[in-house]
Amino acid sequence: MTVTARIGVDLGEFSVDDVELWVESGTTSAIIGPNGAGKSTIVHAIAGTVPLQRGRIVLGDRVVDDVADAIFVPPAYRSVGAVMQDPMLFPHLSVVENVAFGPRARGTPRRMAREVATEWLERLGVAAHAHKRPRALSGGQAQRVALARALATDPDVLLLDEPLSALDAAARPAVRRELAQHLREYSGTAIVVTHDAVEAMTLADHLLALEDGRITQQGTATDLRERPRSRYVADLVGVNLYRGAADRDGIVTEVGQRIVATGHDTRGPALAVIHPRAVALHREEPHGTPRNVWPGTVAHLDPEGSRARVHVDAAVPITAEVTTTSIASLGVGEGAAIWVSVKATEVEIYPA
Amino acid sequence: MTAPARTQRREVGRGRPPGLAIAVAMVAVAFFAAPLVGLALRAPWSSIGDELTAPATVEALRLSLVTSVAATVLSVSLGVPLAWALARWTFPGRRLARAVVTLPMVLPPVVGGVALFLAFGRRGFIGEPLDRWLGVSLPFSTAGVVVAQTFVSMPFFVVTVEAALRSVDRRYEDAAATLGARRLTVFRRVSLPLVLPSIVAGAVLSWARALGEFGATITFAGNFPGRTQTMPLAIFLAFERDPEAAIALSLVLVAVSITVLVSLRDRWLHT
Repeated sequence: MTVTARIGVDLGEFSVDDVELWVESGTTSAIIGPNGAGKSTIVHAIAGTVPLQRGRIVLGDRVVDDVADAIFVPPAYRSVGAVMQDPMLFPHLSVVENVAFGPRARGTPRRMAREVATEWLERLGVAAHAHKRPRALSGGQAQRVALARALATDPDVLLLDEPLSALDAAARPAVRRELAQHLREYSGTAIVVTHDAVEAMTLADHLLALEDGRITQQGTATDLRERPRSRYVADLVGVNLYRGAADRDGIVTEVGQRIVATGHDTRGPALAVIHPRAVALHREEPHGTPRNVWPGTVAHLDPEGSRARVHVDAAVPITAEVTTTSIASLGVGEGAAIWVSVKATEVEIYPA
Repeated sequence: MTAPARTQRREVGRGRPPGLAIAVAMVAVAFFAAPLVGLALRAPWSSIGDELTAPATVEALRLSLVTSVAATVLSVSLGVPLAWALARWTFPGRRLARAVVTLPMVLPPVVGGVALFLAFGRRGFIGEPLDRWLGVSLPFSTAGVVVAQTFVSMPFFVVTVEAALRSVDRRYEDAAATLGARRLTVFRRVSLPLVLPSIVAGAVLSWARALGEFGATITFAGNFPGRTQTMPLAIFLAFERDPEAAIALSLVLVAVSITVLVSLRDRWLHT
């Protein structure tokens, strides 16, 4: 079921200003954005728990919310399942009763609803806890039950609002892998909201970046990684992004610094991407082929396993990713003077 | 050894009110305890069995139980929708409605009785058509006792349940709605169970208030043994003629009240 929406909701800090959204039937999309960008508001609007103030939401060929035409379909009639940040399992019902709640509310006889619920609990690997109260569950178990509860109504659209954020860091990877598996098996349309790039890229086929209440970029994870269109997306995928004017020899950044590039056809307003692994660091001024050479100082170092990201303050502020071994051999710490070089062929330029 | 002891003493003393306040507080406790002690001291312990099994006493006790339970059932069945509306429905005049509903909590019960009489009495603007068209006459009847008790006790129920409904996490209701539950189902299967402790607490509070109702009952329903003479009325009358009987009856109500309070505190009131 295709989801088409234009969403305008004013809720103070959670406002969303006419966000346009189109999610293809049967795919999983991730809405990724910084906290306070209005991600949850979009999910609530599609679920129907927050009515629109402007715009329109269409699920399949059915208009479920349209301010101009005064149409509002309550959540119970939308065939939308939702898993929110907190599992929100009903504390007065057992786990299996929680999962049977949806089928029961939709008119399935008690016995059959329990059978459906038990099946879903088995699929999610939490059948052993069927007769416990939700408060006896761990965070990961509770979120699995919440997913079972949402899926047990067989929704056409599944909404997941930061489904892993309530879990501790240790439980997250396992639940994320399982969730990815269930989303692949799920035949409906899924929308995941997250601020975590890994989560977005493992769970979704298609990503939508939401910043300041509007979608700034959408595409596959590869699209975003290779051609980010905003500083936020560049930071998410971990690349250096520069905005400027392109000419035959490269790009002149907004602060007037030239970055030399080759093999591009773009002229005029453009973006340039440099992958941190393409950035080389030197103690002395390098001589030879690299066309982009800048002196700078090490702003800070972020070690990540056997590699480290080195943020350099230079005429062109840039992040390099090098092995911890080479950091040791360079002998640089924060505040040290350093030279940066990038080959012209490693600079990717595309229209802004 | 001395160092930990000193620390402990400081911990014990921390946040404790000064001695003078504690002395005054103890006087206040004594003030509440004294009447109970008085009852216990003067109670006709030897003849209490006879006092309590006297036909008039049994009759008053039966009537009190029947009417207070009926008033509580009425309070719960009217009060749950009322509390729901007050908690969740924004309508013009909601503040006024809430004020009207809670007024009986502060209104002198006798005034409540007079007001009930003017509305539901035989010449009242509701009582007269009620009598003429349906042949129902509330004043000086057992039904009138129930009406008077409901009038003064239901506000306690409504206030308790409304506060609880306001504090329910709305996200539970949102979750139920996305699962396909309509508003009544959400209320019945999610909101109501979540506030069940408050419903029980409110019902017990309101029942205790109905059990002790005197002013509105005697004004609106009168004092007819077997028909409208509840325990408080029987105690008041007996106090002049037969103080020992009054004391025995009072002890019954004290016992009932203490039982209610203790069971409430353990199960539902988080004090």
